[in-house]
Amino acid sequence: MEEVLKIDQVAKQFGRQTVLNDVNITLHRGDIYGLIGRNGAGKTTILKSIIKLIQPTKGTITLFGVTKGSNYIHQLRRTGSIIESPVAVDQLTARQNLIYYSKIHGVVDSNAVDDTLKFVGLDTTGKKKFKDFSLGMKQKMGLAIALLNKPDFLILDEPINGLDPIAIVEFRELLLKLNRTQQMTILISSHILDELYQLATRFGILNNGTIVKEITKQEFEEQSREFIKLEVDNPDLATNVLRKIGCSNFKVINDHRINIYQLDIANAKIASSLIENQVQLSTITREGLNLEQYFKQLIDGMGGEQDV
Amino acid sequence: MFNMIRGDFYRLKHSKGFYITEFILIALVLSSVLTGTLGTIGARSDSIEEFQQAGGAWNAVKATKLMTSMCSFLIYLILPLFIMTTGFEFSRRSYKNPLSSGMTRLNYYLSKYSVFIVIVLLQVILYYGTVYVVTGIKNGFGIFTLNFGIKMAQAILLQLLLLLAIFSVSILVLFITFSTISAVVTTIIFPLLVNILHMIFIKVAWLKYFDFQGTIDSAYFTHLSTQNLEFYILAACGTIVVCGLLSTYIFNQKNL
Repeated sequence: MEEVLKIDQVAKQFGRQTVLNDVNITLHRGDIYGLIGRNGAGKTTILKSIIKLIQPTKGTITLFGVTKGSNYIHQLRRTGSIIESPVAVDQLTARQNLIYYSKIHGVVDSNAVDDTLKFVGLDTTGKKKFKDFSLGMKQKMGLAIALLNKPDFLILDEPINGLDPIAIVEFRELLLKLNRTQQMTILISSHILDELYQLATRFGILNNGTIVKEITKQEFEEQSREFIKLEVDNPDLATNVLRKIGCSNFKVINDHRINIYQLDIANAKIASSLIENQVQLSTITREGLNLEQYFKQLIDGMGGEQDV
Repeated sequence: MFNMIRGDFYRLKHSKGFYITEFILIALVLSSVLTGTLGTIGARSDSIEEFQQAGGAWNAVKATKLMTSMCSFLIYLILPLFIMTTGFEFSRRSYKNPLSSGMTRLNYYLSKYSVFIVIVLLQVILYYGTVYVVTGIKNGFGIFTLNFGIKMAQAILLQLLLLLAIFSVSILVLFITFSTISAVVTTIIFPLLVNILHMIFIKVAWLKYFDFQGTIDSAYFTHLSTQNLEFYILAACGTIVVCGLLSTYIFNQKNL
């Protein structure tokens, strides 16, 4: 599959402060990569380095197979981005802003402006000027400007911050539509991890300028899948009882704990069977990790994967 | 570059500020030529006084000559358009849009500079065009001699060059500070500062060549020797080149 972006051992220092430290990320065509990190972790610095608003101190960034020089800048024509906050001309309407940027970008497709406005849902804003737009509308405007020259790769920095729940869903659906219909590659950073989970196919967790974990959505789901946690006095006896009631998918974690991954047996039935067979049951709960908990555990260094 | 000019003029066309600025320019010209009075920002030379008082109503040729001494007002009527097309790009950080989609920083600088040159040209054309047409309709056009045409062309070219030099300093400040206010203050303060320095260091002869604002107003009526003219042109071109190189160098080094 075509490699869209390869970040190789990239580091960035501002004075004595190291903001990025040997970051490696690879994106293939059609990926939706979620960049997760706390404030100041280096997310925006990575995104700015890709679009050359910042020059890395060390390392290489390869975009569509090109690493440096004017060819790299040329490849940026295949990207669209919203970095930090969406910006457009305050005094112009949505349509006028797109006409303005289409002139600057030299967009020749006469339908591009109307098609893009319709796609992002700003085709009915009429004479309302950008300065009077709500935050959600401004984000859509930023997306429209980014999409104007039909990019293959979209870079979005915290695009759903401050949006209301309906605007978040609309924005997510727009991005998924772009990914599904045009195989658009998307690199997105966000604090809203539940939302990012619904969008991304891969995640990179950034802490203090270092990618501390890369995980696919599938791997995450396997590691964080729901299970029933049992705490018992006699795991050997308990496993025999579980087998008798038709439960085969479980794992003995330690001397007291068993995780059951077969969720079609009611907790009440498990509990009563164990008690009837003289197993002392101290805990029976249904557990699982969402992305936020996973991120927190990883960053806090409180067990991470082992506890999942 | 051409795309940026098209884009920025589209932006100006849809901005109230553009029409207000042009209205003020035309109103300023009309108030002068219809009342037959001149306003200046600095001192006025004796030759202008003599010429103005040399009888007769202002016909188009006379008015055009006299209005060369008010041309430095254009600094304040170029400033709003400069802010609208370039200043806001920095104060609102909208430079990110073109720079993140395949425009090099050098190309961005040159594009913005070319937009600025076109703005200066248009303001100068509107200024002298209004003077000539309005006084021509009111009091007749006068005799347009070849000598007048050549001298006016020389004066206007020098004025254009000096206007570009003044704003080169403003552009440099804008590219260093990303602050529209700093650029505006520089545009207003720089010519005054040079004037003050020239008055303090009266023996430093070369300082007068950097009095761009004063030279704009006296471009037609001051009889410059060829050598003096060369020095004025060299000072203006030098300022444009040095500020341009510094602007692009600093802009290229910046983390945006």
